[in-house]
Amino acid sequence: MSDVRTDELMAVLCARQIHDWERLAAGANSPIPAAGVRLAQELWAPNAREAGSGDVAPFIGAKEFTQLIQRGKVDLFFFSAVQLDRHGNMNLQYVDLPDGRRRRFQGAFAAPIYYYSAKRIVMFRTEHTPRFFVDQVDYVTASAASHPRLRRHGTLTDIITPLAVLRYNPEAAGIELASVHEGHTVDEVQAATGFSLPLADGFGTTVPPSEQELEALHGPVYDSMAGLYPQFVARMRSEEKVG
Amino acid sequence: MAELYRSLAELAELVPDGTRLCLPKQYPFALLRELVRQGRRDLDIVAAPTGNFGVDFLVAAGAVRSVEAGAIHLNEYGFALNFNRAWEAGQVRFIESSCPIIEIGLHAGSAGLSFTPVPGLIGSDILRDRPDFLVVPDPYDPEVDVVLAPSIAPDVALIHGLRADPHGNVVCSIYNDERLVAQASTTVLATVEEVREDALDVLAFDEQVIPSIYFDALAVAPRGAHPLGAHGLYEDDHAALRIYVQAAKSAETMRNYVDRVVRGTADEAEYRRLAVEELSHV
Repeated sequence: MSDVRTDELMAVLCARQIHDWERLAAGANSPIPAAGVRLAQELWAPNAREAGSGDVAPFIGAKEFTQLIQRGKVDLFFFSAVQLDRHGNMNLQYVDLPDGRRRRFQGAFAAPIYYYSAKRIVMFRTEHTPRFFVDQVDYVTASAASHPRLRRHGTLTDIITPLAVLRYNPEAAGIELASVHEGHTVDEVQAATGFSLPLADGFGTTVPPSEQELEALHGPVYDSMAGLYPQFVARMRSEEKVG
Repeated sequence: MAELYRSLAELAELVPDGTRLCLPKQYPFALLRELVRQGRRDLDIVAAPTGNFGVDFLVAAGAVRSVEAGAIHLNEYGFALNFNRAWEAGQVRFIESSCPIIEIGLHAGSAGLSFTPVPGLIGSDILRDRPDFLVVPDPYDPEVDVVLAPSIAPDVALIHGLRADPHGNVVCSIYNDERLVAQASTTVLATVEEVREDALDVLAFDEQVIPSIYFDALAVAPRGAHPLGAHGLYEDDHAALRIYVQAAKSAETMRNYVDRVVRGTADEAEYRRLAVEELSHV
């Protein structure tokens, strides 16, 4: 379990993915990217619109958002997964157990279509372990790689974890290390990753949250989230006072 | 001549063993319980587009042969314990899919088409698990490939409406896929919380009317979504859901739960009395 400061850093990193006027969505029950969306809206992306948020009137049925994303109108979608491999394949569905049985999770949800339809996919995951970053996923729910006969609007770009930001390089069809958060090292990130991580162009230290970002998070962002994510906000605020 | 409005038991009789049954997420739970009381078996469920308590319950009661869904879970309570256990034991088949595939399949079914192109999906292992999905050159852009999937036209759809008028026009929230499911399915049955002359007069911004022409039969089922909520009328009954999730932890405790709460109640009036009584002990 990550601590409050790490959750806040991840929310800030999610926010920095968002530009003004973009259309985007975060999955349900995802307080960290939800905080990121509100933070971006508060500071630099007042016209970014999040489907399914209180500010945007609801769609009719599940199909309407799917149609929006399928025709390439959604700029950014936040995903999590059970496994992610060196080629950017993601797995939401099954993990092979040592005894040969297969552990079932909940299902693919919309990933086998959305992973190809959003212009940018950002993954976030609150654990950075070799259990998540595997050499090869046990089941490919959706694939990041392009090939000439595949039509897609976009693919995986960044992966945000408690240790680092990783980046999908479409030319190499592989995952690289974009930046390491303060207090962590390249060796530590490599040891927590189940495949070898080349350093991305422009590799460096993650820019820590600014005063302005933290102030907005602790004020208007948590205020606006308290209705939908009461437990998350209570946790962030209780530890805020202790720290 | 049969009436449009019938009893819950009569509605359940319109769903024979082996039906391909479509369920949007606002479950007509009273009708699902009635199916179990009548001993229904071998249902092939299409979840629109994911399944939760309603699907997991029918699986636990031994009524289900297969489930086609984007995912199955118990909402904020996590894994679909009964479904996953039955799947591991080989007692129920999971037909691999994804939410948009189900939605676009129902959309094609609603238009009377036999198949539909599906975007994305290439490179996913789902294609290996669905030999009925085909990868073909796009006939209008042969430089790229496209996946084709059979349309989905279920035998029967079961819907729970918030209210209806005497003509059988049904008001639902807009959040789920009742409309699509009604358009795609051969037979459409609905339960409603109440029938009122003025049911359509005032609609909230997130309500819609499904025209009566879609429906083959309806029944009145007050609190018919319990233990889940009915949008805008009552909330999920978390005390009752926790009893369910606790029971779902083993096959034996779940069997006892189904025997006591459903097979042990003659009808919904008795179910409601039992539910109130059980919850008073929590």
